[in-house]
Amino acid sequence: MRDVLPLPFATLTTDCAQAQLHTAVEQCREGLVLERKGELERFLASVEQRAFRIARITLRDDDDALDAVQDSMLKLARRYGNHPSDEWRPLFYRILQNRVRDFQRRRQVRNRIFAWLPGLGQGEEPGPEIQDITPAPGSGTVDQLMASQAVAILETAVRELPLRQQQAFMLRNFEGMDVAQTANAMGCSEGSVKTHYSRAVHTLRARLGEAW
Amino acid sequence: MVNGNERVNGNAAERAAELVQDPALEARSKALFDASVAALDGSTRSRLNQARHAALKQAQQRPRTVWWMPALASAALAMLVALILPRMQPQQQPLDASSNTAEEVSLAAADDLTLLMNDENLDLLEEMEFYTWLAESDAFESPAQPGPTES
Repeated sequence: MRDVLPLPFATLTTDCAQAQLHTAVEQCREGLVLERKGELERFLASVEQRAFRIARITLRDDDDALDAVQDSMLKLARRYGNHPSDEWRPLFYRILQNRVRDFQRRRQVRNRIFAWLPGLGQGEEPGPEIQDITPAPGSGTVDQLMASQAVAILETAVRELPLRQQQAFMLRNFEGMDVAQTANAMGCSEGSVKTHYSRAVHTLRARLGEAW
Repeated sequence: MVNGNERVNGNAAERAAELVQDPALEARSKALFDASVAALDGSTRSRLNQARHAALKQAQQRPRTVWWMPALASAALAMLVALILPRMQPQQQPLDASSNTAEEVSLAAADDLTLLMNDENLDLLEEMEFYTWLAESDAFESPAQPGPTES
Protein backbone atom coordinates (compact mmCIF):
# COMPACT_ATOMS: atom_id res chain seq x y z
CA MET A 1 0.00 0.00 0.00
CA ARG A 2 2.86 2.31 0.64
CA ASP A 3 3.85 2.12 -3.01
CA VAL A 4 0.44 3.51 -4.00
CA LEU A 5 0.65 6.68 -1.87
CA PRO A 6 1.31 9.79 -4.04
CA LEU A 7 3.49 11.46 -1.40
CA PRO A 8 5.59 10.20 1.47
CA PHE A 9 3.28 10.44 4.45
CA ALA A 10 6.07 11.57 6.77
CA THR A 11 7.03 14.45 4.50
CA LEU A 12 3.40 15.56 4.17
CA THR A 13 3.04 15.52 7.94
CA THR A 14 6.24 17.57 8.38
CA ASP A 15 5.09 20.16 5.82
CA CYS A 16 1.72 20.51 7.53
CA ALA A 17 3.33 20.88 10.91
CA GLN A 18 5.69 23.53 9.61
CA ALA A 19 2.84 25.43 7.99
CA GLN A 20 0.84 25.31 11.21
CA LEU A 21 3.83 26.42 13.21
CA HIS A 22 4.46 29.29 10.81
CA THR A 23 0.83 30.37 11.07
CA ALA A 24 0.95 30.22 14.85
CA VAL A 25 4.11 32.31 14.93
CA GLU A 26 2.54 34.90 12.63
CA GLN A 27 -0.60 35.08 14.72
CA CYS A 28 1.45 35.48 17.87
CA ARG A 29 3.52 38.21 16.25
CA GLU A 30 0.40 40.05 15.09
CA GLY A 31 -0.99 39.80 18.57
CA LEU A 32 2.15 41.31 20.05
CA VAL A 33 2.10 44.08 17.45
CA LEU A 34 -1.50 44.91 18.26
CA GLU A 35 -0.78 44.87 21.97
CA ARG A 36 2.21 47.13 21.44
CA LYS A 37 0.17 49.49 19.32
CA GLY A 38 -2.49 49.67 21.99
CA GLU A 39 0.10 50.39 24.65
CA LEU A 40 1.58 53.18 22.54
CA GLU A 41 -1.82 54.69 21.93
CA ARG A 42 -2.60 54.68 25.64
CA PHE A 43 0.70 56.37 26.37
CA LEU A 44 0.11 59.10 23.78
CA ALA A 45 -3.40 59.67 25.09
CA SER A 46 -1.96 60.13 28.59
CA VAL A 47 0.52 62.85 27.58
CA GLU A 48 -1.11 64.70 24.69
CA GLN A 49 -2.95 67.35 26.70
CA ARG A 50 0.01 68.30 28.90
CA ALA A 51 2.31 68.20 25.89
CA PHE A 52 -0.04 70.55 24.06
CA ARG A 53 -0.02 73.01 26.97
CA ILE A 54 3.77 72.88 27.19
CA ALA A 55 4.16 73.49 23.46
CA ARG A 56 1.53 76.23 23.59
CA ILE A 57 3.44 78.14 26.25
CA THR A 58 6.45 78.45 23.95
CA LEU A 59 4.77 78.76 20.56
CA ARG A 60 1.78 80.89 21.65
CA ASP A 61 -0.33 79.46 18.86
CA ASP A 62 -2.86 76.63 19.09
CA ASP A 63 -2.35 75.37 15.55
CA ASP A 64 1.44 75.31 15.80
CA ALA A 65 1.27 73.57 19.16
CA LEU A 66 -1.11 70.94 17.78
CA ASP A 67 1.14 70.37 14.78
CA ALA A 68 4.19 70.05 17.01
CA VAL A 69 2.44 67.48 19.20
CA GLN A 70 1.17 65.48 16.22
CA ASP A 71 4.60 65.50 14.56
CA SER A 72 6.16 64.30 17.80
CA MET A 73 3.63 61.50 18.12
CA LEU A 74 4.34 60.41 14.58
CA LYS A 75 8.10 60.44 15.03
CA LEU A 76 7.91 58.54 18.31
CA ALA A 77 5.64 55.91 16.80
CA ARG A 78 7.75 55.48 13.67
CA ARG A 79 11.22 55.49 15.16
CA TYR A 80 10.85 54.48 18.77
CA GLY A 81 7.66 52.45 18.92
CA ASN A 82 9.72 49.30 19.41
CA HIS A 83 11.69 50.74 22.31
CA PRO A 84 10.82 49.79 25.90
CA SER A 85 7.76 51.70 27.02
CA ASP A 86 9.56 53.30 29.96
CA GLU A 87 11.72 55.16 27.43
CA TRP A 88 8.79 56.67 25.56
CA ARG A 89 8.15 59.61 27.87
CA PRO A 90 11.62 61.22 27.82
CA LEU A 91 11.96 60.39 24.12
CA PHE A 92 8.62 61.99 23.34
CA TYR A 93 9.48 65.21 25.14
CA ARG A 94 12.91 65.37 23.55
CA ILE A 95 11.26 65.08 20.15
CA LEU A 96 8.67 67.68 21.14
CA GLN A 97 11.31 70.16 22.24
CA ASN A 98 13.12 69.75 18.93
CA ARG A 99 9.90 70.28 17.00
CA VAL A 100 9.06 73.40 19.02
CA ARG A 101 12.49 74.83 18.22
CA ASP A 102 11.99 73.97 14.54
CA PHE A 103 8.72 75.91 14.53
CA GLN A 104 10.38 78.88 16.20
CA ARG A 105 13.27 78.91 13.72
CA ARG A 106 10.96 78.66 10.72
CA ARG A 107 8.82 81.46 12.08
CA GLN A 108 11.89 83.67 12.42
CA VAL A 109 13.08 82.90 8.89
CA ARG A 110 9.58 83.36 7.48
CA ASN A 111 9.26 86.73 9.19
CA ARG A 112 12.57 87.87 7.72
CA ILE A 113 11.57 86.75 4.23
CA PHE A 114 8.27 88.59 4.47
CA ALA A 115 10.15 91.65 5.63
CA TRP A 116 12.27 91.55 2.46
CA LEU A 117 9.30 91.03 0.18
CA PRO A 118 6.80 93.78 0.83
CA GLY A 119 3.37 93.06 -0.48
CA LEU A 120 3.36 89.43 0.61
CA GLY A 121 2.30 90.35 4.10
CA GLN A 122 4.24 90.41 7.32
CA GLY A 123 5.11 87.27 9.18
CA GLU A 124 2.58 86.19 11.71
CA GLU A 125 3.57 86.84 15.25
CA PRO A 126 1.25 85.53 17.89
CA GLY A 127 -0.85 88.29 19.33
CA PRO A 128 -1.25 89.16 22.97
CA GLU A 129 -2.58 86.43 25.18
CA ILE A 130 -6.01 87.96 25.58
CA GLN A 131 -7.66 84.56 25.37
CA ASP A 132 -5.71 83.42 28.40
CA ILE A 133 -7.09 86.21 30.54
CA THR A 134 -10.68 86.41 29.43
CA PRO A 135 -12.71 83.80 31.30
CA ALA A 136 -14.74 81.27 29.34
CA PRO A 137 -18.43 82.03 28.94
CA GLY A 138 -20.44 80.93 31.91
CA SER A 139 -17.48 80.86 34.23
CA GLY A 140 -17.74 84.32 35.65
CA THR A 141 -16.58 83.64 39.18
CA VAL A 142 -13.92 85.87 40.60
CA ASP A 143 -11.77 82.92 41.58
CA GLN A 144 -11.79 81.54 38.06
CA LEU A 145 -10.89 84.91 36.63
CA MET A 146 -8.02 85.25 39.06
CA ALA A 147 -6.84 81.73 38.22
CA SER A 148 -6.87 82.52 34.51
CA GLN A 149 -4.85 85.64 35.12
CA ALA A 150 -2.41 83.74 37.32
CA VAL A 151 -1.91 81.13 34.60
CA ALA A 152 -1.22 83.85 32.05
CA ILE A 153 1.29 85.53 34.34
CA LEU A 154 3.04 82.24 35.07
CA GLU A 155 3.20 81.26 31.38
CA THR A 156 4.69 84.62 30.45
CA ALA A 157 7.34 84.28 33.14
CA VAL A 158 8.20 80.71 32.11
CA ARG A 159 8.36 81.68 28.45
CA GLU A 160 10.90 84.39 29.23
CA LEU A 161 13.26 82.01 31.02
CA PRO A 162 16.49 81.04 29.26
CA LEU A 163 15.88 78.00 27.08
CA ARG A 164 17.49 75.34 29.26
CA GLN A 165 15.92 76.69 32.44
CA GLN A 166 12.56 76.77 30.70
CA GLN A 167 12.89 73.17 29.56
CA ALA A 168 14.06 71.93 32.95
CA PHE A 169 11.26 73.71 34.78
CA MET A 170 8.47 72.58 32.47
CA LEU A 171 9.61 68.98 32.42
CA ARG A 172 10.30 68.72 36.15
CA ASN A 173 7.45 70.84 37.50
CA PHE A 174 4.69 70.73 34.90
CA GLU A 175 5.21 67.24 33.55
CA GLY A 176 6.46 65.79 36.83
CA MET A 177 9.43 63.95 35.38
CA ASP A 178 12.23 62.93 37.70
CA VAL A 179 15.80 64.15 37.31
CA ALA A 180 16.95 61.12 35.31
CA GLN A 181 14.06 61.30 32.86
CA THR A 182 14.50 65.04 32.48
CA ALA A 183 18.21 64.59 31.79
CA ASN A 184 17.35 62.03 29.13
CA ALA A 185 14.80 64.35 27.56
CA MET A 186 17.14 67.35 27.60
CA GLY A 187 20.21 65.39 26.53
CA CYS A 188 22.31 66.57 29.45
CA SER A 189 23.60 65.33 32.79
CA GLU A 190 21.49 65.02 35.90
CA GLY A 191 23.65 67.64 37.56
CA SER A 192 22.89 70.07 34.76
CA VAL A 193 19.18 69.41 35.19
CA LYS A 194 19.37 70.25 38.87
CA THR A 195 21.31 73.41 38.16
CA HIS A 196 18.97 74.60 35.40
CA TYR A 197 15.92 73.83 37.52
CA SER A 198 17.16 75.61 40.61
CA ARG A 199 18.11 78.65 38.56
CA ALA A 200 14.68 78.61 36.93
CA VAL A 201 12.97 78.57 40.31
CA HIS A 202 15.18 81.39 41.52
CA THR A 203 14.48 83.46 38.39
CA LEU A 204 10.74 82.86 38.56
CA ARG A 205 10.62 83.85 42.20
CA ALA A 206 12.50 87.06 41.44
CA ARG A 207 10.14 87.83 38.58
CA LEU A 208 6.84 86.81 40.17
CA GLY A 209 7.60 88.38 43.52
CA GLU A 210 7.30 87.21 47.06
CA ALA A 211 3.51 87.42 46.98
CA TRP A 212 3.21 84.64 44.42
CA MET B 1 40.55 66.72 31.65
CA VAL B 2 38.84 67.73 34.85
CA ASN B 3 41.28 68.01 37.72
CA GLY B 4 40.51 67.20 41.29
CA ASN B 5 39.69 70.74 42.35
CA GLU B 6 37.28 71.26 39.49
CA ARG B 7 35.55 68.00 40.26
CA VAL B 8 35.11 69.02 43.89
CA ASN B 9 33.79 72.44 42.90
CA GLY B 10 31.39 70.84 40.43
CA ASN B 11 30.01 68.48 43.06
CA ALA B 12 29.64 71.35 45.52
CA ALA B 13 27.71 73.34 42.93
CA GLU B 14 25.38 70.41 42.35
CA ARG B 15 24.79 70.01 46.07
CA ALA B 16 24.13 73.72 46.37
CA ALA B 17 21.66 73.51 43.52
CA GLU B 18 19.74 70.76 45.28
CA LEU B 19 19.38 72.94 48.36
CA VAL B 20 17.70 75.76 46.43
CA GLN B 21 14.04 75.01 46.90
CA ASP B 22 10.90 77.05 46.83
CA PRO B 23 8.09 74.68 47.71
CA ALA B 24 5.41 77.35 47.59
CA LEU B 25 6.27 78.50 44.08
CA GLU B 26 6.72 74.96 42.81
CA ALA B 27 3.44 73.79 44.27
CA ARG B 28 1.45 76.74 42.99
CA SER B 29 3.01 76.52 39.52
CA LYS B 30 2.19 72.84 39.32
CA ALA B 31 -1.39 73.43 40.47
CA LEU B 32 -1.96 76.24 37.97
CA PHE B 33 -0.57 74.17 35.12
CA ASP B 34 -2.75 71.19 36.03
CA ALA B 35 -5.76 73.47 36.18
CA SER B 36 -4.97 74.88 32.73
CA VAL B 37 -4.78 71.34 31.33
CA ALA B 38 -8.09 70.42 32.93
CA ALA B 39 -9.63 73.57 31.46
CA LEU B 40 -8.84 72.64 27.85
CA ASP B 41 -11.95 73.08 25.78
CA GLY B 42 -13.70 70.25 23.98
CA SER B 43 -12.57 71.41 20.57
CA THR B 44 -8.90 71.22 21.52
CA ARG B 45 -9.34 67.82 23.13
CA SER B 46 -11.04 66.57 20.01
CA ARG B 47 -8.29 67.90 17.79
CA LEU B 48 -5.67 66.24 19.97
CA ASN B 49 -7.59 62.99 19.75
CA GLN B 50 -7.70 63.24 15.98
CA ALA B 51 -4.02 64.14 15.84
CA ARG B 52 -3.13 61.03 17.84
CA HIS B 53 -5.12 58.73 15.57
CA ALA B 54 -3.71 60.38 12.45
CA ALA B 55 -0.15 60.04 13.74
CA LEU B 56 -0.58 56.37 14.59
CA LYS B 57 -2.13 55.71 11.19
CA GLN B 58 0.65 57.54 9.38
CA ALA B 59 3.26 55.68 11.41
CA GLN B 60 2.09 52.46 9.79
CA GLN B 61 2.50 53.94 6.35
CA ARG B 62 5.88 54.82 4.93
CA PRO B 63 6.01 57.72 2.49
CA ARG B 64 7.25 56.60 -0.89
CA THR B 65 10.65 58.07 -1.63
CA VAL B 66 10.77 59.48 -5.13
CA TRP B 67 14.26 59.72 -6.50
CA TRP B 68 13.71 63.10 -8.09
CA MET B 69 12.33 64.79 -4.96
CA PRO B 70 15.68 65.99 -3.61
CA ALA B 71 16.45 67.50 -7.00
CA LEU B 72 13.05 69.19 -7.06
CA ALA B 73 13.56 70.54 -3.55
CA SER B 74 16.97 71.91 -4.52
CA ALA B 75 15.47 73.55 -7.58
CA ALA B 76 12.75 75.12 -5.45
CA LEU B 77 15.33 76.52 -3.05
CA ALA B 78 17.39 77.83 -5.96
CA MET B 79 14.33 79.64 -7.27
CA LEU B 80 13.76 81.15 -3.85
CA VAL B 81 17.37 82.35 -3.78
CA ALA B 82 16.97 83.86 -7.25
CA LEU B 83 13.85 85.64 -6.08
CA ILE B 84 15.38 87.05 -2.93
CA LEU B 85 18.94 87.81 -4.12
CA PRO B 86 18.02 90.91 -6.17
CA ARG B 87 16.61 92.42 -3.00
CA MET B 88 19.85 91.86 -1.13
CA GLN B 89 21.77 94.41 -3.22
CA PRO B 90 23.62 97.09 -1.23
CA GLN B 91 21.57 99.88 -2.85
CA GLN B 92 18.42 98.49 -1.26
CA GLN B 93 16.94 100.46 1.61
CA PRO B 94 18.09 98.89 4.86
CA LEU B 95 15.43 97.55 7.14
CA ASP B 96 16.44 99.84 9.94
CA ALA B 97 18.61 102.71 8.75
CA SER B 98 19.29 103.82 12.29
CA SER B 99 20.99 100.61 13.38
CA ASN B 100 21.68 98.31 10.38
CA THR B 101 23.87 99.06 7.41
CA ALA B 102 22.94 97.64 4.04
CA GLU B 103 25.90 95.28 4.32
CA GLU B 104 24.68 93.98 7.67
CA VAL B 105 21.25 93.42 6.19
CA SER B 106 22.76 91.49 3.28
CA LEU B 107 24.84 89.37 5.64
CA ALA B 108 21.79 88.61 7.75
CA ALA B 109 19.88 87.70 4.63
CA ALA B 110 22.68 85.38 3.53
CA ASP B 111 22.65 83.72 6.95
CA ASP B 112 18.93 83.13 6.68
CA LEU B 113 19.26 81.64 3.22
CA THR B 114 21.98 79.38 4.55
CA LEU B 115 19.55 78.32 7.24
CA LEU B 116 17.01 77.44 4.58
CA MET B 117 19.49 75.52 2.47
CA ASN B 118 21.48 73.62 5.08
CA ASP B 119 21.10 70.01 6.16
CA GLU B 120 18.95 70.90 9.17
CA ASN B 121 16.05 71.30 6.78
CA LEU B 122 16.02 67.63 5.89
CA ASP B 123 12.77 67.50 7.83
CA LEU B 124 11.38 70.05 5.39
CA LEU B 125 12.47 67.87 2.47
CA GLU B 126 10.91 64.80 4.12
CA GLU B 127 7.67 66.70 4.58
CA MET B 128 7.74 67.75 0.94
CA GLU B 129 8.16 64.09 -0.04
CA PHE B 130 5.26 63.13 2.20
CA TYR B 131 2.93 65.80 0.87
CA THR B 132 3.84 64.91 -2.70
CA TRP B 133 3.06 61.25 -1.94
CA LEU B 134 -0.18 62.32 -0.29
CA ALA B 135 -1.15 64.37 -3.36
CA GLU B 136 -0.35 61.42 -5.59
CA SER B 137 -2.42 59.17 -3.34
CA ASP B 138 -5.39 61.55 -3.65
CA ALA B 139 -4.94 61.62 -7.43
CA PHE B 140 -4.98 57.81 -7.64
CA GLU B 141 -7.67 57.28 -5.06
CA SER B 142 -11.01 56.23 -6.53
CA PRO B 143 -13.58 53.51 -5.86
CA ALA B 144 -12.31 51.48 -8.83
CA GLN B 145 -8.58 51.89 -8.30
CA PRO B 146 -6.46 50.93 -5.33
CA GLY B 147 -4.05 53.49 -3.87
CA PRO B 148 -0.34 53.46 -4.68
CA THR B 149 1.67 50.84 -2.90
CA GLU B 150 5.20 51.15 -1.58
CA SER B 151 7.72 49.93 -4.16
